Amino acid sequence: MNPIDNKLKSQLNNDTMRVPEGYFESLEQDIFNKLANEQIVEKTLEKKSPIVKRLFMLTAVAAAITIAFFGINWLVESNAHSIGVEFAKMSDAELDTYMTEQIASLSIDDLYGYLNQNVNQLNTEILFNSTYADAQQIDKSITDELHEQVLDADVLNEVVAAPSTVNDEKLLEIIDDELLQEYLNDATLFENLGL
Amino acid sequence: MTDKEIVQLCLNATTREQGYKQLVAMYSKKLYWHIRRMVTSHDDANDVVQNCFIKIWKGLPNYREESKLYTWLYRIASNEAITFINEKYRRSSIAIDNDVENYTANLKSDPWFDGDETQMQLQYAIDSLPDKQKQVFVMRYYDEMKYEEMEAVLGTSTGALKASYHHAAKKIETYLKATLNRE
Repeated sequence: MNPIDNKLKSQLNNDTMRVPEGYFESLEQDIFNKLANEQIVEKTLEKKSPIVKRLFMLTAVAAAITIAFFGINWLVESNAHSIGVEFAKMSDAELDTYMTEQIASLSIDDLYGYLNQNVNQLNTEILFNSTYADAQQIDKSITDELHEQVLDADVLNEVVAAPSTVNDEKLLEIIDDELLQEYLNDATLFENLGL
Repeated sequence: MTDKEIVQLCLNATTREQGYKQLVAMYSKKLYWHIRRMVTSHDDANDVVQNCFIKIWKGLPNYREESKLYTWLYRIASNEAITFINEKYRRSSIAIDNDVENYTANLKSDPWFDGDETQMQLQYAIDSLPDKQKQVFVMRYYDEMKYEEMEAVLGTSTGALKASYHHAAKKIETYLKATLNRE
């Protein structure tokens, strides 16, 4: 039995939907136009695809380089950290041997370059007490500097009282040790000495 | 030109365009009305039918003659219409069954809908049906499709289709009676 009663049937059969005049005549053309536009878009995308591929490749290479860079950095940092741990475990004798080996492997140019950049951070006492420093060379450099540079007022007072013919050894003896140490601790001295 | 001849033209790459033009000429009106019954608004139906024919063109190289041409076309049209409806209500986030005033107001302002209040309520009742029942109702009542053909389009057994149609018709009738009696 059909569930639709006659009243409902009459309502359903009363067509209430319309379309604009000439709609179906233009619909076919509209469909073909839309299809043509779609095909143009697809062809454009196909043409562009090599560029997209190249961009993808470039992005991939950039990502690989970035990962490699940070990876190496991480490795270096981890190794440095592990070396630090090794140092802490070393005895003084082992450390001395290790440092001697390492310094022996450096060239004079490397050392000079390093000191030139970092000497301001060095404590002169450590430098004087170091077995690796040439004491005679340092003494000569200091006396040359004392002759050439304007001294601190306290040091200068002692120096001017000395005879003009005083030699380098005498000059060092005349100056009070504490004053001399204070002067040597002044970072600018080492810059002036070219160390 | 018969469906079989159109299919032969469409399956051959060199004559596909010619076959497609025949197919559009033969089916655009039928598919438009099927879609219009589903989506109600002319503007929406116009968009959906054009998209539907784009899909048909893209699908032609893969069309298998296992199903009849019109069965295949109706399946695409019906699915496109349902997808459109679901998208539309998802975007507006308003369920149709809670919005009868808004629905009838829109229908009143639609220049391509001529119905009176009763017909607006009828349209509302049809649009409020679940997807499957709505498909079955439109195919059966407006497109006068046989259950066997609907079975091929929707992939549902004849028994289930009959049940869906019966439920749909009863819901519409009940809704209309309640609404009209209230007035």
